[in-house]
Amino acid sequence: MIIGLPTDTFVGVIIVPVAISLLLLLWALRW
Amino acid sequence: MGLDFIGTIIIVLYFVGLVAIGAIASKKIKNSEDFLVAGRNLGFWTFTLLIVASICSGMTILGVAGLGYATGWPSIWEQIFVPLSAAVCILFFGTKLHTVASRTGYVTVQDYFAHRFYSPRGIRGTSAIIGILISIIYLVGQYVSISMVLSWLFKIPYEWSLVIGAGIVMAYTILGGLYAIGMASLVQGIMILAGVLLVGPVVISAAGGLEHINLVLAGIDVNMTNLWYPQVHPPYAKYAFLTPEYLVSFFFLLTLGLAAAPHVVNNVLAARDVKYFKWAPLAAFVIYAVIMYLCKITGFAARSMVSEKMISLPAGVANPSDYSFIVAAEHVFPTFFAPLVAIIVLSAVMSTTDRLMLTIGSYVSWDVYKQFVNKDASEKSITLLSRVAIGLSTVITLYLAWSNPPELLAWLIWMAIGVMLACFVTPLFAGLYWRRATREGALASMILGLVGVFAFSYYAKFIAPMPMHPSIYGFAISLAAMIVVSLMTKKPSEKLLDETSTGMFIRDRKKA
Repeated sequence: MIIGLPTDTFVGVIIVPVAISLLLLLWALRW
Repeated sequence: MGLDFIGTIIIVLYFVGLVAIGAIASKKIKNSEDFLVAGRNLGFWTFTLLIVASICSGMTILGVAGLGYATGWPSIWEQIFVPLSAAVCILFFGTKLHTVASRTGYVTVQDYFAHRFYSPRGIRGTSAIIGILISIIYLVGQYVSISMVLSWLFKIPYEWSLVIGAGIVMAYTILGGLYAIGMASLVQGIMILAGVLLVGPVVISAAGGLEHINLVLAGIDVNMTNLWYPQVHPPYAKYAFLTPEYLVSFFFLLTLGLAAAPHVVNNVLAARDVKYFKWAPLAAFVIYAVIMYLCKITGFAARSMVSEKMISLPAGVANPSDYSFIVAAEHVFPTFFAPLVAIIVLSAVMSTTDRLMLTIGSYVSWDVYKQFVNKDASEKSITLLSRVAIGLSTVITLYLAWSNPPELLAWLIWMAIGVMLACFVTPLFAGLYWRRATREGALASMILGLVGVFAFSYYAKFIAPMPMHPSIYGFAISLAAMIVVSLMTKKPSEKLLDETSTGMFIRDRKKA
């Protein structure tokens, strides 16, 4: 449990937006 | 009374400011291209916030918090899928459409369809009519949020608040076209972001902090702290519909459907420079994701506060959970909450409403009148007709919002995004990236997608519930129709495909 959430949920809600942001950053840097 | 008075003054000043933006923008309107695509001259932040604000509607604030209130963390996927739609629109549709439009001068996405699918009337007419109809339905949906906020906060009758809200938006949109909408989006986007950054954290800490909220949610139903509800059909409770299967259809509906929506995708033609498409996807995603995460967690906080009897939602309304954002904000900012919340939600509603009105105006004047009625229409008459169409669409949608039964309305609005997915996503992706896609394929895809989404939505609503959002079945039909019919018909000429930069690339390295 992290801040009252199951670890899977906590990791999921952080890692998905971060991963998408990194992909969009990659798009910008490869321009 | 004194506070009501100050609150009213603040809101009136905000409205006057918006109309002033319209008046300033109207001085820039020299021709119909200025009115309809802001002279292709919007700067980076105006363009980025225009895309975000066009998608970010009143329901984005109220409905997101309401869904969070009702279902908990499994609905957090909405906060991924919707911001991603802004990035998908800019990156996958915008980069290439803007590049081609800089050579061809497209004013609406129908100009692209007519060119790429060598169908000056068939595809253009079909796409424009569908676009006008779903924009009208979507517009009626926006009014529901306007009236919820104004009548709840200022205790004025529902009908009055509708007319005031719609009148202000109509005024600045008619005055300044996309220039005014772009400038207003800059103000509205900043208001929404600042507003939720202020309200969100204060509500969360008032509810006892994130950990406490999560423990309360888990106490209500342990699945409320998971990433989805268990895969059973039908769901074990009305709120437990966000199963893995349903979430897949939610991705298609929100990420692709909103990206291809007429009031969103046309904005890509208004950017000043193709270089904006480098950083705009990331900027739009991050800004929008921050707004939506905070709105959603405010909904969780409201659920926790209600279950601990700190606040209570209004009784006797059709959708009490959609009031959770307003009621929670009222609890933590009892004195100056009314104007604060009103400005956040009204900014979100108006920034979508204005773009929907202009979409209807531009489709009526540019795609229907100029192409089907009077080919030699002058610049002045196009702009004038756009303005008249915006005024007329406001009157028609106000009438519909007034007279329609809310239940049918909710179903139509829910279906409207589905129509965007089933009608526009396949022709856009196939047109831009698949050299084999033909005119007949595009037309079949649009029409069968429309029929499919209606049939499945009707089935899901009135006959038996389905495990996924009905629009995904319509989308599957539109995809199959595009592939099968295209392969059966004659391939477009190489010259046309090169003119429209068609192929499996986003940026054409050879010509760059």
